[in-house]
Amino acid sequence: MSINHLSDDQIQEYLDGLSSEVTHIHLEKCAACRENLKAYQNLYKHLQGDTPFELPSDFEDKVMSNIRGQSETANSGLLTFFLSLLGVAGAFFTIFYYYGLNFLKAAPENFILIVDRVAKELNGGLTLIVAAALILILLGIVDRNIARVRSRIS
Amino acid sequence: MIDNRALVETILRGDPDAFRTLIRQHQRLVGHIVGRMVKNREDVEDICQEVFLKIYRSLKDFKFNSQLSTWIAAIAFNTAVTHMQKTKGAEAIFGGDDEIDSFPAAPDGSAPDAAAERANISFVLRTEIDHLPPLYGTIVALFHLHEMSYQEIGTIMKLPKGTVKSYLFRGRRLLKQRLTAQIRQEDLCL
Ligand SMILES: [Zn+2]
Repeated sequence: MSINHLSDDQIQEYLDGLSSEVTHIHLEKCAACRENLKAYQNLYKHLQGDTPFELPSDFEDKVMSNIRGQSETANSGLLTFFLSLLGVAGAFFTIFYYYGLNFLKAAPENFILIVDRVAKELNGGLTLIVAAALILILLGIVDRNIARVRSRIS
Repeated sequence: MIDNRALVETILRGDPDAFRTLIRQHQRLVGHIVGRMVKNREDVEDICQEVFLKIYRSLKDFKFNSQLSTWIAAIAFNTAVTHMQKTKGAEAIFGGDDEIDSFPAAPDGSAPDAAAERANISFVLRTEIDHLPPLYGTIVALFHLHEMSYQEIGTIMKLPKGTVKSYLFRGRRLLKQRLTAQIRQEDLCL
């Protein structure tokens, strides 16, 4: 009669398909080890039927809207950036159109004076254009920072 | 494998329905990994969302050096580990290596209204798994629910095959002992 019973590791190896002939022969002869084998078989059966954590049925939709939200944020950031550029270009084009090279010569010396003079002459129209361009630039910067913070969080 | 290749290529061409298919095929796997690693149920779904966003962003870098499911499982595992390191630390993940036998068993649900639930072996088992170190429970799920080999699990967790095997065997031995003890107790109660 054999005194050395199978270890728990040997029984698990047997059930995982890694057993040797020795294990097989011992199991045929030994009721105590067959009892232990039965306990493991029972455990395996329940482990295979376990449901640890199931995601909700709308999980897929949530992921997709999350992805869409992220790419929309990126797109709107880009749009604001281009609009800002367009605004600045438009403002400079207008100034250049009305004042030509004289404006460029005077510009570095006293910008505020020029803007003031131009605004008066255009009855406030140009100030509006410059202000709009500045607001657009600011929006662009804020939007890009929000997008950066969001992507860092996720 | 060929099917997965076609699926990945379709996703990369910008087909949102293809990514939906990928989510459907892998959300069970991701949910099981994150669900076993992170005990706080409220965090699990958010982390799973994060996992699929990461997959979406880095799918172009996947070169089919492994199975798609192995690659996805590794992202899920790493994201869960990062979350746990932020909240708890490495000890919580591995359960202090050689101390698994001293890991506390689930508290006995001795209230009378819990009797019906205690009779449910699956419930007992799940409670016991939740009391194992997260890594052990995750290995058990990957092996028994997703039919992964020691080698595949090792690739996902960046652990040697032998270590995976030893964690799996120790986890199962403990579960068997506790399950046997609980069920015999049930018999005595009846
Ligand atoms: Zn024996």
